Amino acid sequence: MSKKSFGKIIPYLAVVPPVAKPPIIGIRHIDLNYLMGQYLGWLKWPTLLGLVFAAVSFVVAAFYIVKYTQGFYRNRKIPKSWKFILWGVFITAIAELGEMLGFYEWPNAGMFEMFFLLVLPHAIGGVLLGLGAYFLYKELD
Amino acid sequence: MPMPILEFNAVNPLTYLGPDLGFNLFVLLIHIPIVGGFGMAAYYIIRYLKKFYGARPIPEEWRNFWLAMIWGTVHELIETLLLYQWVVGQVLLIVFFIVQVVAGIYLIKGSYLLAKKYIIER
Repeated sequence: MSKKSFGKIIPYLAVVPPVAKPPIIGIRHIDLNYLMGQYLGWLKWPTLLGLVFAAVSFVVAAFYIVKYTQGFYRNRKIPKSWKFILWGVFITAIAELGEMLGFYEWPNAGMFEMFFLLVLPHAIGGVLLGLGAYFLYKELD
Repeated sequence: MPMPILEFNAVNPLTYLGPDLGFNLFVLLIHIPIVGGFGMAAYYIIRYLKKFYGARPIPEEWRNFWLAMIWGTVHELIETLLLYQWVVGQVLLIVFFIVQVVAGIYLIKGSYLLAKKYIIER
């Protein structure tokens, strides 16, 4: 069922549920005019810009954190806290890319993108960042 | 059909992704570390800074890095609303765009200043 015909059947229902049998990989369903199955209209480019910027910002931050830790701890061992924070930022960058794919593919979002590129990296990235900050605090003792 | 301005939906997260309750529950619960991880990072970074700097002013690079975690938490929270479609509409996407840009700027600025102050300027 195409997105247009879906809209004709239930024109007043805002929620677009996922398809009953999602594809393994849904890249061919990417449509920049729709986010989570909703027609973007004038929000098409601001939405894309925001999502790309979010992903790029995590990559750039990971780059500078590498520079910082390599330089600051030059001949010393990099503490566990900064290793966790660095990996947390880097893995969240992957999650932000997965988010773009999954949200633009909806309701035919691929299971691979949704699980291995969006949900799982987000959770791992979040846990690593949280633990990294916790270790940073604890390392002061 | 154009996107609504702003709508709130009572979507059941335990049936949203299909009939498998276990899978729905797993995806719902995994959002706790997603949002909580950033919140935990923001909480412990400010505790670290207060402990380390005490009465001294917190340097700009650290303040930016901490603010990135705060805005990152809001960003992850909005992503959860988007995924479950509890809130749908143009207003949410505009807020999401602003939060993404602000969080990204703080993150880049914070990490750049850390590298610049301790490495590049040495």
